[in-house]
Amino acid sequence: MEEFEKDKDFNNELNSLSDVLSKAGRDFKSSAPDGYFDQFPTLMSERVAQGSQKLSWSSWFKMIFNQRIAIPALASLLLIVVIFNSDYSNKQSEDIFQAEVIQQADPAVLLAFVDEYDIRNEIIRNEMEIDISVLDSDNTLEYFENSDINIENLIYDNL
Amino acid sequence: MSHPEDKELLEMFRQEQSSHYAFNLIVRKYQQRLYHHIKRMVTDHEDANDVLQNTFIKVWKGLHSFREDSQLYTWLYRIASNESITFINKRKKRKATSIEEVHEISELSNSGSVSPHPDQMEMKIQKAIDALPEQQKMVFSLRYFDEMKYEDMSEVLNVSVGALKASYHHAVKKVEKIILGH
Repeated sequence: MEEFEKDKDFNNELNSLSDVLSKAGRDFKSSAPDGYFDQFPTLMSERVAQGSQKLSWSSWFKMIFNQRIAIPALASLLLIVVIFNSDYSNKQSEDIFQAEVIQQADPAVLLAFVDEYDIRNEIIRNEMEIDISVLDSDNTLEYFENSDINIENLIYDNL
Repeated sequence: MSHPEDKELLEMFRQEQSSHYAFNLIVRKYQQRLYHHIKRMVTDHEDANDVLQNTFIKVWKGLHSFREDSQLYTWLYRIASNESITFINKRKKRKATSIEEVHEISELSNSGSVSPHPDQMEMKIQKAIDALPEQQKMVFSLRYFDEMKYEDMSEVLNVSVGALKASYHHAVKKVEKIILGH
């Protein structure tokens, strides 16, 4: 084969080597398992043909779930969702103290932010006929809704 | 088995309907030479098989843009050599360089005669080659086993002919020294 011409000077060079390298070593050929070179071209053709094919939906599906990146990517996505939700909840509880939100909020929710001590003072100050000892979260709201006391003011007092 | 000339193969490859066939012929023509070259570098058959497959996958991908500035076979050897070096570097990271192997070589050398049994000789030469630095190993393999011209080696390894001759000279001396157990 013309393109793989061996060097003509090689034999001269070989003669200058020691006996060990000029004789025994020349016969050394690394061996491959039997039949390896018969099967290898077919294997390569198959690999190349697979690489040339356009991926079907099922191939994409398999590829996505076979990739090492799939699990870390899914975990990262879940982490982002958790962080976003947590941030959103914190933001909501912070927003409850904003004036506009207070005006629109459910009184029952607002009441949770009012100190019981303030409620008692308000009852006394307004000379309301309420037995303070029976106050609980359910009936307090009912009392306040039927009175002229503005819960919002109590909220602001507590901010 | 006679193989078509490289020029013929490349022309065939450039025609879409025969590119797969031409690639298969290129694999058949060069698989053995590249396999032996790679195996002398990586030693193990399974590793050589992986590197050879990666080499031909790169050949398939790159052959479309091969401009024949160099000969096909030197280009193939260059890819195989680069793939072998990449593989060896990755393997080095996985495990520390084996100093034990060098000791094994010395022990083997000291116990043997000047003209040992051929099988023992093969083992000695392979171990001696393994003990060479990567560049010298490559140069020794291409020159001693493949009888490649220095000009072609220069294309494969992108090193000057003078540097290659010096490198081969050092490699031969080291291999002889290890085999003779000096």
